[in-house]
Amino acid sequence: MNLLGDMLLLGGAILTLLLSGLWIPFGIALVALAYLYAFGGFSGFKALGLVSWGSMNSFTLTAIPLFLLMAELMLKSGLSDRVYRGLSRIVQRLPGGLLQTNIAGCATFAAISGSSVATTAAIGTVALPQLKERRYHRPLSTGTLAAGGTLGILIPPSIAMIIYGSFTETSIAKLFMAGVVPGLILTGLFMTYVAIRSMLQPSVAPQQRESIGSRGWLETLNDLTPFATLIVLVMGSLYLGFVTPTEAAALGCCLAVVICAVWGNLNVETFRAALANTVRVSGAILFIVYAAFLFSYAVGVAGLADRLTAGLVGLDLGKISFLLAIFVIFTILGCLVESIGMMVITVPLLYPVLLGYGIDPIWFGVALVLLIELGQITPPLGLNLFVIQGISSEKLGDIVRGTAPFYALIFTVLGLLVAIPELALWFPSQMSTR
Amino acid sequence: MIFVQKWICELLVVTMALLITAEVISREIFGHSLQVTHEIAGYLLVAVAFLSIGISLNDKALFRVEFLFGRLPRRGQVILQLIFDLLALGFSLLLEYQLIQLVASSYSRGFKEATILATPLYLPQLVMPLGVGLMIVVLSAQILAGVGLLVKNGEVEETREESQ
Repeated sequence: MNLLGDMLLLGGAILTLLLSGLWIPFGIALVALAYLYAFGGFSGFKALGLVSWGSMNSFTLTAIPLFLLMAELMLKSGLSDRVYRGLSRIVQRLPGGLLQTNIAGCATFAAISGSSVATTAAIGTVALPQLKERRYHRPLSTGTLAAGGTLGILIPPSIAMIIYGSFTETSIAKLFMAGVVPGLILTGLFMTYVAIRSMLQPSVAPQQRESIGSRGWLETLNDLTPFATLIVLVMGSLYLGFVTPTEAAALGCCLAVVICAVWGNLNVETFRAALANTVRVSGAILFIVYAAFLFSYAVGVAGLADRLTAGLVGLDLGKISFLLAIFVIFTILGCLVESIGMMVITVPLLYPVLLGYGIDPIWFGVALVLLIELGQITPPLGLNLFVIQGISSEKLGDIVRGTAPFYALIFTVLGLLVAIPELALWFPSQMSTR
Repeated sequence: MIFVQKWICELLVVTMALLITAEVISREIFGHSLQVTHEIAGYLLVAVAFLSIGISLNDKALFRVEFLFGRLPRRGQVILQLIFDLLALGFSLLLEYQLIQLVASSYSRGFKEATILATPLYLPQLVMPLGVGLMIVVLSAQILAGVGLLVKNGEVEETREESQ
Protein backbone atom coordinates (compact mmCIF):
# COMPACT_ATOMS: atom_id res chain seq x y z
CA MET A 1 0.00 0.00 0.00
CA ASN A 2 1.21 3.53 -0.63
CA LEU A 3 2.27 5.88 2.15
CA LEU A 4 -0.87 8.03 1.98
CA GLY A 5 -3.12 4.96 2.12
CA ASP A 6 -1.18 3.59 5.10
CA MET A 7 -1.37 6.88 6.98
CA LEU A 8 -5.10 7.28 6.28
CA LEU A 9 -5.81 3.72 7.39
CA LEU A 10 -3.74 4.10 10.55
CA GLY A 11 -5.13 7.53 11.45
CA GLY A 12 -8.68 6.46 10.61
CA ALA A 13 -8.45 3.32 12.75
CA ILE A 14 -7.08 5.20 15.75
CA LEU A 15 -9.56 8.06 15.52
CA THR A 16 -12.53 5.67 15.07
CA LEU A 17 -11.58 3.64 18.12
CA LEU A 18 -10.79 6.65 20.30
CA LEU A 19 -13.77 8.79 19.27
CA SER A 20 -16.17 5.89 19.83
CA GLY A 21 -15.11 5.97 23.48
CA LEU A 22 -12.65 3.08 23.87
CA TRP A 23 -10.05 3.79 26.57
CA ILE A 24 -7.17 5.58 24.87
CA PRO A 25 -4.36 3.12 25.75
CA PHE A 26 -6.42 0.11 24.61
CA GLY A 27 -7.23 1.95 21.38
CA ILE A 28 -3.58 2.68 20.65
CA ALA A 29 -2.48 -0.86 21.61
CA LEU A 30 -5.15 -2.55 19.48
CA VAL A 31 -4.14 -0.56 16.41
CA ALA A 32 -0.50 -1.51 17.12
CA LEU A 33 -1.46 -5.19 17.27
CA ALA A 34 -3.51 -4.94 14.06
CA TYR A 35 -0.55 -3.31 12.34
CA LEU A 36 1.85 -5.98 13.58
CA TYR A 37 -0.53 -8.71 12.41
CA ALA A 38 -0.91 -7.09 8.99
CA PHE A 39 2.85 -7.05 8.49
CA GLY A 40 3.93 -10.30 10.11
CA GLY A 41 0.91 -12.44 10.98
CA PHE A 42 0.95 -14.08 14.42
CA SER A 43 4.73 -14.17 14.45
CA GLY A 44 4.59 -10.34 14.55
CA PHE A 45 3.47 -10.63 18.18
CA LYS A 46 6.50 -12.64 19.30
CA ALA A 47 8.52 -9.63 20.42
CA LEU A 48 5.68 -8.11 22.50
CA GLY A 49 7.13 -9.45 25.74
CA LEU A 50 10.60 -8.08 25.08
CA VAL A 51 9.22 -4.72 23.91
CA SER A 52 7.11 -4.51 27.09
CA TRP A 53 10.09 -5.19 29.33
CA GLY A 54 12.51 -3.01 27.38
CA SER A 55 10.19 -0.01 27.30
CA MET A 56 8.87 0.03 30.85
CA ASN A 57 12.07 -1.01 32.67
CA SER A 58 13.07 2.64 32.67
CA PHE A 59 14.68 4.80 35.34
CA THR A 60 13.60 7.94 33.43
CA LEU A 61 9.90 7.14 33.51
CA THR A 62 10.11 6.71 37.28
CA ALA A 63 9.89 10.51 37.41
CA ILE A 64 6.20 10.37 36.40
CA PRO A 65 4.73 8.82 39.58
CA LEU A 66 7.22 10.73 41.72
CA PHE A 67 6.38 14.19 40.35
CA LEU A 68 2.69 13.28 40.63
CA LEU A 69 3.22 12.36 44.29
CA MET A 70 5.10 15.58 45.03
CA ALA A 71 2.22 17.73 43.74
CA GLU A 72 -0.42 15.55 45.40
CA LEU A 73 1.29 15.93 48.78
CA MET A 74 1.32 19.74 48.50
CA LEU A 75 -2.32 19.73 47.37
CA LYS A 76 -3.72 17.32 49.95
CA SER A 77 -1.84 19.06 52.79
CA GLY A 78 -3.63 22.33 52.05
CA LEU A 79 -0.51 24.19 50.92
CA SER A 80 -2.03 25.20 47.57
CA ASP A 81 -4.64 27.15 49.58
CA ARG A 82 -1.89 28.98 51.37
CA VAL A 83 0.10 29.83 48.25
CA TYR A 84 -3.07 31.24 46.67
CA ARG A 85 -3.75 33.35 49.77
CA GLY A 86 -0.17 34.61 49.88
CA LEU A 87 -0.07 35.45 46.17
CA SER A 88 -3.45 37.18 46.33
CA ARG A 89 -2.04 39.69 48.87
CA ILE A 90 0.88 40.46 46.56
CA VAL A 91 -0.86 40.77 43.21
CA GLN A 92 -4.15 42.30 44.47
CA ARG A 93 -2.86 45.73 43.54
CA LEU A 94 -2.59 44.80 39.88
CA PRO A 95 -5.64 45.48 37.71
CA GLY A 96 -7.64 42.26 37.78
CA GLY A 97 -7.13 41.45 41.46
CA LEU A 98 -7.88 37.79 42.13
CA LEU A 99 -7.90 37.02 38.39
CA GLN A 100 -4.19 37.85 38.45
CA THR A 101 -3.83 35.55 41.45
CA ASN A 102 -5.37 32.75 39.38
CA ILE A 103 -2.59 33.06 36.80
CA ALA A 104 0.22 33.62 39.32
CA GLY A 105 -1.11 30.74 41.46
CA CYS A 106 -1.23 28.38 38.48
CA ALA A 107 2.31 29.39 37.41
CA THR A 108 3.61 28.76 40.95
CA PHE A 109 1.82 25.43 41.32
CA ALA A 110 3.11 24.51 37.84
CA ALA A 111 6.63 24.77 39.21
CA ILE A 112 6.00 21.75 41.45
CA SER A 113 3.44 19.95 39.30
CA GLY A 114 3.96 18.19 35.99
CA SER A 115 0.32 18.01 35.06
CA SER A 116 -1.99 20.73 33.79
CA VAL A 117 -5.08 18.94 35.07
CA ALA A 118 -3.60 18.79 38.59
CA THR A 119 -2.64 22.47 38.39
CA THR A 120 -6.10 23.51 37.22
CA ALA A 121 -7.78 21.40 39.90
CA ALA A 122 -5.45 22.59 42.69
CA ILE A 123 -5.85 26.31 42.07
CA GLY A 124 -9.43 26.09 40.76
CA THR A 125 -10.67 24.43 43.95
CA VAL A 126 -9.21 27.21 46.11
CA ALA A 127 -10.00 30.13 43.80
CA LEU A 128 -13.53 29.57 42.48
CA PRO A 129 -15.44 29.94 45.78
CA GLN A 130 -13.64 33.23 46.48
CA LEU A 131 -14.18 34.55 42.94
CA LYS A 132 -17.87 33.70 43.18
CA GLU A 133 -18.25 35.31 46.60
CA ARG A 134 -16.60 38.53 45.40
CA ARG A 135 -18.68 38.55 42.21
CA TYR A 136 -15.89 38.38 39.66
CA HIS A 137 -16.85 37.99 35.98
CA ARG A 138 -17.68 34.28 35.72
CA PRO A 139 -16.44 33.44 32.21
CA LEU A 140 -13.14 35.25 32.86
CA SER A 141 -12.78 33.63 36.31
CA THR A 142 -13.11 30.16 34.83
CA GLY A 143 -11.12 31.10 31.71
CA THR A 144 -8.09 32.31 33.69
CA LEU A 145 -8.10 29.06 35.66
CA ALA A 146 -8.50 26.71 32.69
CA ALA A 147 -5.84 28.58 30.70
CA GLY A 148 -3.57 29.18 33.71
CA GLY A 149 -3.67 25.44 34.42
CA THR A 150 -2.04 24.74 31.06
CA LEU A 151 1.15 26.28 32.46
CA GLY A 152 1.41 23.04 34.47
CA ILE A 153 3.07 21.22 31.58
CA LEU A 154 5.15 24.12 30.24
CA ILE A 155 6.79 25.34 33.43
CA PRO A 156 8.96 22.49 34.74
CA PRO A 157 8.49 19.79 35.91
CA SER A 158 6.38 18.46 33.04
CA ILE A 159 5.05 14.95 32.52
CA ALA A 160 4.50 15.71 28.83
CA MET A 161 8.21 16.56 28.50
CA ILE A 162 9.25 13.39 30.38
CA ILE A 163 7.23 11.31 27.93
CA TYR A 164 8.51 13.25 24.91
CA GLY A 165 12.09 12.93 26.18
CA SER A 166 11.70 9.17 26.73
CA PHE A 167 10.49 8.61 23.18
CA THR A 168 13.01 10.85 21.48
CA GLU A 169 15.95 10.23 23.84
CA THR A 170 16.22 13.97 24.35
CA SER A 171 17.65 15.32 27.63
CA ILE A 172 14.67 15.78 29.93
CA ALA A 173 16.62 18.19 32.16
CA LYS A 174 17.25 20.42 29.11
CA LEU A 175 13.62 20.13 28.03
CA PHE A 176 12.53 21.23 31.49
CA MET A 177 14.79 24.27 31.39
CA ALA A 178 13.70 25.07 27.82
CA GLY A 179 10.16 25.48 29.14
CA VAL A 180 11.10 28.13 31.72
CA VAL A 181 11.41 31.27 29.55
CA PRO A 182 8.37 30.52 27.30
CA GLY A 183 6.45 29.63 30.48
CA LEU A 184 7.30 32.97 32.07
CA ILE A 185 6.48 34.84 28.84
CA LEU A 186 3.12 33.08 28.62
CA THR A 187 2.41 33.87 32.29
CA GLY A 188 3.30 37.52 31.61
CA LEU A 189 1.04 37.64 28.54
CA PHE A 190 -1.85 36.07 30.44
CA MET A 191 -1.46 38.62 33.25
CA THR A 192 -1.12 41.53 30.82
CA TYR A 193 -4.31 40.48 29.05
CA VAL A 194 -6.18 40.27 32.36
CA ALA A 195 -4.86 43.72 33.36
CA ILE A 196 -5.87 45.36 30.07
CA ARG A 197 -9.29 43.70 30.07
CA SER A 198 -9.88 44.78 33.69
CA MET A 199 -8.92 48.38 32.92
CA LEU A 200 -11.15 48.50 29.82
CA GLN A 201 -14.03 46.70 31.53
CA PRO A 202 -13.73 47.32 35.29
CA SER A 203 -16.87 45.28 36.09
CA VAL A 204 -15.02 42.01 35.37
CA ALA A 205 -12.86 42.43 38.50
CA PRO A 206 -14.25 44.32 41.50
CA GLN A 207 -11.59 46.42 43.26
CA GLN A 208 -11.14 45.13 46.81
CA ARG A 209 -7.79 46.29 48.00
CA GLU A 210 -6.94 45.42 51.56
CA SER A 211 -4.05 47.18 53.23
CA ILE A 212 -1.36 44.78 54.36
CA GLY A 213 0.37 45.63 57.60
CA SER A 214 3.74 44.28 58.64
CA ARG A 215 1.92 41.32 60.19
CA GLY A 216 0.22 40.71 56.83
CA TRP A 217 3.55 40.67 55.02
CA LEU A 218 4.90 38.16 57.54
CA GLU A 219 1.88 35.94 56.97
CA THR A 220 2.40 36.29 53.21
CA LEU A 221 6.01 35.27 53.58
CA ASN A 222 4.95 32.29 55.66
CA ASP A 223 2.34 31.30 53.06
CA LEU A 224 4.80 31.43 50.16
CA THR A 225 7.82 29.88 51.86
CA PRO A 226 6.72 26.20 51.50
CA PHE A 227 6.35 26.42 47.72
CA ALA A 228 9.38 28.66 47.29
CA THR A 229 11.55 26.24 49.29
CA LEU A 230 10.44 23.22 47.28
CA ILE A 231 10.79 24.98 43.91
CA VAL A 232 14.24 26.37 44.69
CA LEU A 233 15.60 23.09 46.07
CA VAL A 234 14.15 20.77 43.43
CA MET A 235 14.58 22.91 40.32
CA GLY A 236 17.79 24.49 41.62
CA SER A 237 19.49 21.14 42.15
CA LEU A 238 18.38 20.09 38.67
CA TYR A 239 19.61 23.31 37.04
CA LEU A 240 22.96 23.09 38.82
CA GLY A 241 23.36 19.52 37.65
CA PHE A 242 23.43 17.89 41.09
CA VAL A 243 20.57 15.59 40.16
CA THR A 244 18.82 14.09 37.16
CA PRO A 245 15.08 14.82 36.62
CA THR A 246 14.12 11.48 38.19
CA GLU A 247 16.32 12.15 41.20
CA ALA A 248 14.86 15.66 41.48
CA ALA A 249 11.39 14.09 41.58
CA ALA A 250 12.35 11.63 44.35
CA LEU A 251 14.13 14.30 46.35
CA GLY A 252 11.10 16.55 45.83
CA CYS A 253 8.78 13.91 47.31
CA CYS A 254 10.90 13.56 50.45
CA LEU A 255 11.24 17.35 50.79
CA ALA A 256 7.49 17.75 50.22
CA VAL A 257 6.78 15.36 53.11
CA VAL A 258 8.95 17.47 55.43
CA ILE A 259 7.48 20.77 54.15
CA CYS A 260 3.90 19.49 54.38
CA ALA A 261 4.54 18.24 57.93
CA VAL A 262 5.94 21.63 58.98
CA TRP A 263 3.59 24.02 57.14
CA GLY A 264 0.61 21.88 56.06
CA ASN A 265 -1.76 19.39 57.65
CA LEU A 266 0.05 16.22 56.63
CA ASN A 267 -1.10 13.16 58.54
CA VAL A 268 -1.50 9.48 57.76
CA GLU A 269 -4.89 10.10 56.15
CA THR A 270 -3.74 12.90 53.80
CA PHE A 271 -0.53 10.98 53.00
CA ARG A 272 -2.53 7.88 52.02
CA ALA A 273 -4.97 10.01 50.00
CA ALA A 274 -2.05 11.58 48.09
CA LEU A 275 -0.53 8.15 47.45
CA ALA A 276 -3.84 6.64 46.33
CA ASN A 277 -4.42 9.38 43.76
CA THR A 278 -0.80 9.13 42.60
CA VAL A 279 -1.22 5.41 41.91
CA ARG A 280 -4.55 5.90 40.13
CA VAL A 281 -3.26 8.66 37.83
CA SER A 282 0.12 6.93 37.31
CA GLY A 283 -1.73 3.83 36.12
CA ALA A 284 -3.67 5.89 33.57
CA ILE A 285 -0.61 7.77 32.27
CA LEU A 286 1.89 4.89 32.30
CA PHE A 287 -0.58 2.67 30.45
CA ILE A 288 -0.79 5.25 27.66
CA VAL A 289 3.01 5.44 27.56
CA TYR A 290 3.24 1.64 27.42
CA ALA A 291 0.64 1.40 24.64
CA ALA A 292 2.54 4.11 22.77
CA PHE A 293 5.76 2.07 22.99
CA LEU A 294 3.90 -0.88 21.43
CA PHE A 295 2.61 1.47 18.73
CA SER A 296 6.07 2.88 18.16
CA TYR A 297 7.44 -0.67 17.80
CA ALA A 298 4.67 -1.57 15.32
CA VAL A 299 5.22 1.45 13.07
CA GLY A 300 8.97 0.84 13.35
CA VAL A 301 8.63 -2.78 12.21
CA ALA A 302 6.50 -1.64 9.29
CA GLY A 303 9.05 1.04 8.43
CA LEU A 304 6.28 3.61 8.35
CA ALA A 305 8.24 6.37 10.10
CA ASP A 306 11.12 6.02 7.62
CA ARG A 307 8.74 6.12 4.66
CA LEU A 308 6.94 9.13 6.10
CA THR A 309 10.26 10.92 6.58
CA ALA A 310 11.35 10.18 3.04
CA GLY A 311 7.93 11.20 1.71
CA LEU A 312 7.70 14.49 3.60
CA VAL A 313 11.32 15.52 3.05
CA GLY A 314 10.82 14.63 -0.64
CA LEU A 315 7.96 17.14 -0.82
CA ASP A 316 10.61 19.84 -0.51
CA LEU A 317 8.55 21.98 1.85
CA GLY A 318 10.47 24.79 3.48
CA LYS A 319 11.10 24.46 7.21
CA ILE A 320 8.52 27.12 8.08
CA SER A 321 5.86 25.61 5.78
CA PHE A 322 6.54 22.22 7.33
CA LEU A 323 6.19 23.62 10.85
CA LEU A 324 3.00 25.44 9.92
CA ALA A 325 1.57 22.20 8.53
CA ILE A 326 2.51 20.41 11.77
CA PHE A 327 0.93 23.16 13.89
CA VAL A 328 -2.32 22.96 11.90
CA ILE A 329 -2.43 19.16 12.19
CA PHE A 330 -1.81 19.30 15.97
CA THR A 331 -4.42 22.02 16.45
CA ILE A 332 -7.01 19.88 14.66
CA LEU A 333 -5.92 16.71 16.48
CA GLY A 334 -6.15 18.60 19.78
CA CYS A 335 -9.89 18.96 19.16
CA LEU A 336 -10.29 15.22 18.59
CA VAL A 337 -7.81 13.31 20.78
CA GLU A 338 -6.78 13.65 24.42
CA SER A 339 -3.51 15.60 24.60
CA ILE A 340 -1.03 13.01 25.90
CA GLY A 341 -2.61 10.47 23.57
CA MET A 342 -2.12 12.87 20.67
CA MET A 343 1.54 13.30 21.56
CA VAL A 344 2.40 9.62 21.88
CA ILE A 345 0.69 8.68 18.63
CA THR A 346 2.42 11.36 16.60
CA VAL A 347 5.92 11.65 18.08
CA PRO A 348 7.19 8.19 17.01
CA LEU A 349 6.11 9.00 13.46
CA LEU A 350 7.22 12.61 13.35
CA TYR A 351 10.51 12.52 15.21
CA PRO A 352 12.61 11.16 12.31
CA VAL A 353 10.99 13.76 10.03
CA LEU A 354 12.02 16.55 12.41
CA LEU A 355 15.60 15.33 12.31
CA GLY A 356 15.37 15.23 8.52
CA TYR A 357 14.42 18.92 8.56
CA GLY A 358 17.18 19.77 11.03
CA ILE A 359 14.69 20.91 13.70
CA ASP A 360 16.11 21.00 17.22
CA PRO A 361 14.32 18.30 19.28
CA ILE A 362 14.45 20.44 22.45
CA TRP A 363 12.89 23.39 20.66
CA PHE A 364 10.24 21.13 19.14
CA GLY A 365 9.52 19.63 22.58
CA VAL A 366 8.55 23.08 23.87
CA ALA A 367 6.49 23.88 20.74
CA LEU A 368 4.74 20.52 21.11
CA VAL A 369 3.91 21.26 24.75
CA LEU A 370 2.36 24.58 23.69
CA LEU A 371 0.25 22.71 21.14
CA ILE A 372 -0.78 20.22 23.82
CA GLU A 373 -1.75 23.18 26.01
CA LEU A 374 -4.08 24.32 23.26
CA GLY A 375 -5.61 20.84 23.18
CA GLN A 376 -6.18 21.02 26.96
CA ILE A 377 -8.50 24.03 26.53
CA THR A 378 -10.07 23.15 23.16
CA PRO A 379 -13.62 21.82 23.21
CA PRO A 380 -14.96 19.18 23.02
CA LEU A 381 -12.08 17.31 24.69
CA GLY A 382 -10.09 19.92 26.61
CA LEU A 383 -9.61 18.27 29.98
CA ASN A 384 -8.99 21.58 31.78
CA LEU A 385 -12.41 22.84 30.69
CA PHE A 386 -14.07 19.83 32.28
CA VAL A 387 -12.03 20.11 35.47
CA ILE A 388 -13.20 23.71 35.89
CA GLN A 389 -16.76 22.80 34.94
CA GLY A 390 -16.69 20.04 37.56
CA ILE A 391 -15.59 22.48 40.27
CA SER A 392 -17.64 25.54 39.25
CA SER A 393 -20.82 23.98 37.78
CA GLU A 394 -20.76 26.79 35.19
CA LYS A 395 -21.97 26.20 31.64
CA LEU A 396 -19.27 24.77 29.36
CA GLY A 397 -20.05 27.50 26.82
CA ASP A 398 -19.25 30.24 29.37
CA ILE A 399 -15.96 28.56 30.31
CA VAL A 400 -14.99 28.24 26.63
CA ARG A 401 -15.90 31.92 26.09
CA GLY A 402 -13.65 32.92 29.00
CA THR A 403 -10.81 30.74 27.76
CA ALA A 404 -10.89 31.77 24.07
CA PRO A 405 -8.69 34.89 24.37
CA PHE A 406 -5.95 32.82 26.03
CA TYR A 407 -5.97 30.53 23.03
CA ALA A 408 -4.74 33.46 20.94
CA LEU A 409 -2.02 34.20 23.51
CA ILE A 410 -0.70 30.63 23.35
CA PHE A 411 -0.51 30.97 19.55
CA THR A 412 1.37 34.25 20.06
CA VAL A 413 4.03 32.47 22.13
CA LEU A 414 4.20 29.73 19.50
CA GLY A 415 4.84 32.41 16.86
CA LEU A 416 7.50 34.02 19.05
CA LEU A 417 9.15 30.65 19.47
CA VAL A 418 9.32 30.16 15.71
CA ALA A 419 10.70 33.67 15.21
CA ILE A 420 13.17 33.52 18.11
CA PRO A 421 14.11 29.89 18.88
CA GLU A 422 16.58 31.12 21.54
CA LEU A 423 13.60 31.82 23.80
CA ALA A 424 13.55 28.07 24.39
CA LEU A 425 17.17 27.19 23.69
CA TRP A 426 19.12 29.83 25.62
CA PHE A 427 18.31 28.79 29.19
CA PRO A 428 19.14 25.07 28.76
CA SER A 429 22.44 26.04 27.12
CA GLN A 430 23.46 27.73 30.39
CA MET A 431 22.87 24.75 32.69
CA SER A 432 25.26 22.14 33.97
CA THR A 433 24.10 18.60 33.30
CA ARG A 434 24.90 15.34 34.94
CA MET B 1 -8.07 -7.87 46.00
CA ILE B 2 -7.95 -4.36 44.52
CA PHE B 3 -7.37 -3.06 48.04
CA VAL B 4 -4.20 -5.18 48.38
CA GLN B 5 -3.10 -4.17 44.88
CA LYS B 6 -3.48 -0.48 45.79
CA TRP B 7 -1.60 -0.95 49.03
CA ILE B 8 1.28 -2.68 47.23
CA CYS B 9 1.49 0.04 44.56
CA GLU B 10 1.53 2.78 47.22
CA LEU B 11 4.33 0.97 49.02
CA LEU B 12 6.27 0.62 45.76
CA VAL B 13 6.02 4.36 45.04
CA VAL B 14 7.25 5.22 48.55
CA THR B 15 10.14 2.75 48.18
CA MET B 16 11.01 4.32 44.83
CA ALA B 17 11.17 7.82 46.33
CA LEU B 18 13.23 6.71 49.34
CA LEU B 19 15.67 4.61 47.31
CA ILE B 20 16.41 7.33 44.76
CA THR B 21 16.76 9.98 47.48
CA ALA B 22 19.17 7.69 49.33
CA GLU B 23 21.21 7.44 46.12
CA VAL B 24 21.38 11.27 45.82
CA ILE B 25 22.41 11.67 49.47
CA SER B 26 24.95 8.88 49.30
CA ARG B 27 26.50 10.24 46.11
CA GLU B 28 26.46 13.96 46.90
CA ILE B 29 27.33 13.77 50.61
CA PHE B 30 29.30 10.55 51.06
CA GLY B 31 30.81 10.53 47.59
CA HIS B 32 29.83 7.05 46.42
CA SER B 33 26.91 5.66 44.49
CA LEU B 34 24.74 2.82 45.81
CA GLN B 35 25.26 1.17 42.36
CA VAL B 36 21.89 -0.60 42.41
CA THR B 37 19.45 2.31 42.35
CA HIS B 38 18.85 2.55 38.60
CA GLU B 39 18.29 -1.17 38.33
CA ILE B 40 15.89 -1.49 41.26
CA ALA B 41 14.00 1.74 40.44
CA GLY B 42 13.43 0.38 36.92
CA TYR B 43 11.97 -2.84 38.37
CA LEU B 44 9.79 -0.81 40.73
CA LEU B 45 8.46 1.24 37.82
CA VAL B 46 7.58 -1.90 35.85
CA ALA B 47 5.73 -3.17 38.93
CA VAL B 48 3.87 0.12 39.52
CA ALA B 49 2.99 0.45 35.82
CA PHE B 50 1.59 -3.05 35.40
CA LEU B 51 -0.08 -3.39 38.81
CA SER B 52 -1.74 0.04 38.64
CA ILE B 53 -3.44 -0.53 35.26
CA GLY B 54 -6.03 -2.78 36.92
CA ILE B 55 -6.55 -0.16 39.64
CA SER B 56 -7.08 2.67 37.14
CA LEU B 57 -9.42 0.46 35.12
CA ASN B 58 -11.38 -0.52 38.22
CA ASP B 59 -11.57 3.11 39.45
CA LYS B 60 -12.60 4.31 35.96
CA ALA B 61 -9.54 6.56 35.83
CA LEU B 62 -8.30 5.52 32.37
CA PHE B 63 -8.54 8.35 29.85
CA ARG B 64 -11.22 8.09 27.18
CA VAL B 65 -13.11 10.34 24.80
CA GLU B 66 -16.67 10.49 26.11
CA PHE B 67 -18.50 13.15 24.16
CA LEU B 68 -19.99 10.75 21.58
CA PHE B 69 -20.27 7.78 23.96
CA GLY B 70 -22.12 9.95 26.49
CA ARG B 71 -24.75 10.89 23.91
CA LEU B 72 -25.81 7.26 23.30
CA PRO B 73 -28.95 5.90 24.99
CA ARG B 74 -28.25 3.86 28.14
CA ARG B 75 -28.70 0.48 26.43
CA GLY B 76 -26.42 1.55 23.58
CA GLN B 77 -23.76 2.56 26.11
CA VAL B 78 -23.96 -0.83 27.85
CA ILE B 79 -23.65 -2.71 24.54
CA LEU B 80 -20.76 -0.55 23.27
CA GLN B 81 -19.01 -0.83 26.64
CA LEU B 82 -19.37 -4.59 26.43
CA ILE B 83 -17.72 -4.55 22.98
CA PHE B 84 -14.88 -2.39 24.38
CA ASP B 85 -14.43 -4.74 27.34
CA LEU B 86 -14.26 -7.73 24.98
CA LEU B 87 -11.71 -5.97 22.73
CA ALA B 88 -9.63 -5.04 25.77
CA LEU B 89 -9.90 -8.61 27.06
CA GLY B 90 -8.70 -9.97 23.71
CA PHE B 91 -5.68 -7.66 23.81
CA SER B 92 -4.96 -8.55 27.43
CA LEU B 93 -5.13 -12.30 26.80
CA LEU B 94 -2.75 -12.05 23.85
CA LEU B 95 -0.39 -9.88 25.88
CA GLU B 96 -0.61 -12.24 28.86
CA TYR B 97 0.39 -15.16 26.66
CA GLN B 98 3.39 -13.27 25.24
CA LEU B 99 4.49 -12.07 28.69
CA ILE B 100 4.31 -15.59 30.13
CA GLN B 101 6.41 -16.77 27.18
CA LEU B 102 8.99 -14.07 27.98
CA VAL B 103 9.19 -14.99 31.68
CA ALA B 104 9.39 -18.71 30.87
CA SER B 105 12.17 -18.06 28.38
CA SER B 106 14.14 -15.89 30.85
CA TYR B 107 13.74 -18.63 33.48
CA SER B 108 14.68 -21.58 31.30
CA ARG B 109 17.69 -19.83 29.78
CA GLY B 110 18.81 -18.53 33.16
CA PHE B 111 19.05 -14.88 31.96
CA LYS B 112 20.56 -12.52 34.52
CA GLU B 113 20.94 -8.73 34.58
CA ALA B 114 24.55 -7.74 33.86
CA THR B 115 24.83 -5.76 37.11
CA ILE B 116 26.30 -6.21 40.59
CA LEU B 117 23.04 -7.76 41.78
CA ALA B 118 22.99 -10.19 38.83
CA THR B 119 19.21 -10.37 39.26
CA PRO B 120 17.60 -13.37 37.55
CA LEU B 121 15.49 -11.54 34.95
CA TYR B 122 12.41 -13.73 35.35
CA LEU B 123 11.86 -12.36 38.88
CA PRO B 124 11.17 -8.69 38.09
CA GLN B 125 9.56 -9.74 34.78
CA LEU B 126 7.01 -11.86 36.64
CA VAL B 127 5.14 -8.79 37.78
CA MET B 128 4.13 -8.01 34.16
CA PRO B 129 1.97 -11.14 33.61
CA LEU B 130 0.75 -10.75 37.19
CA GLY B 131 -0.45 -7.17 36.52
CA VAL B 132 -2.03 -8.09 33.18
CA GLY B 133 -3.65 -11.12 34.88
CA LEU B 134 -5.25 -8.82 37.46
CA MET B 135 -6.41 -6.54 34.64
CA ILE B 136 -8.03 -9.60 33.00
CA VAL B 137 -9.88 -10.28 36.26
CA VAL B 138 -11.20 -6.67 36.39
CA LEU B 139 -12.22 -6.82 32.71
CA SER B 140 -13.96 -10.19 33.18
CA ALA B 141 -15.90 -8.79 36.13
CA GLN B 142 -16.93 -5.77 34.02
CA ILE B 143 -18.04 -8.06 31.16
CA LEU B 144 -20.14 -10.19 33.52
CA ALA B 145 -21.69 -7.04 35.01
CA GLY B 146 -22.44 -5.69 31.51
CA VAL B 147 -24.06 -8.95 30.38
CA GLY B 148 -26.04 -9.06 33.63
CA LEU B 149 -27.27 -5.52 33.00
CA LEU B 150 -28.33 -6.33 29.44
CA VAL B 151 -30.20 -9.50 30.49
CA LYS B 152 -31.89 -7.64 33.37
CA ASN B 153 -32.90 -4.72 31.12
CA GLY B 154 -34.18 -7.19 28.51
CA GLU B 155 -36.35 -8.87 31.16
CA VAL B 156 -37.67 -5.49 32.37
CA GLU B 157 -38.56 -4.50 28.79
CA GLU B 158 -40.29 -7.86 28.16
CA THR B 159 -42.30 -7.48 31.39
CA ARG B 160 -43.26 -3.94 30.33
CA GLU B 161 -44.44 -5.15 26.91
CA GLU B 162 -46.45 -7.99 28.50
CA SER B 163 -48.15 -5.66 30.99
CA GLN B 164 -49.08 -3.28 28.15
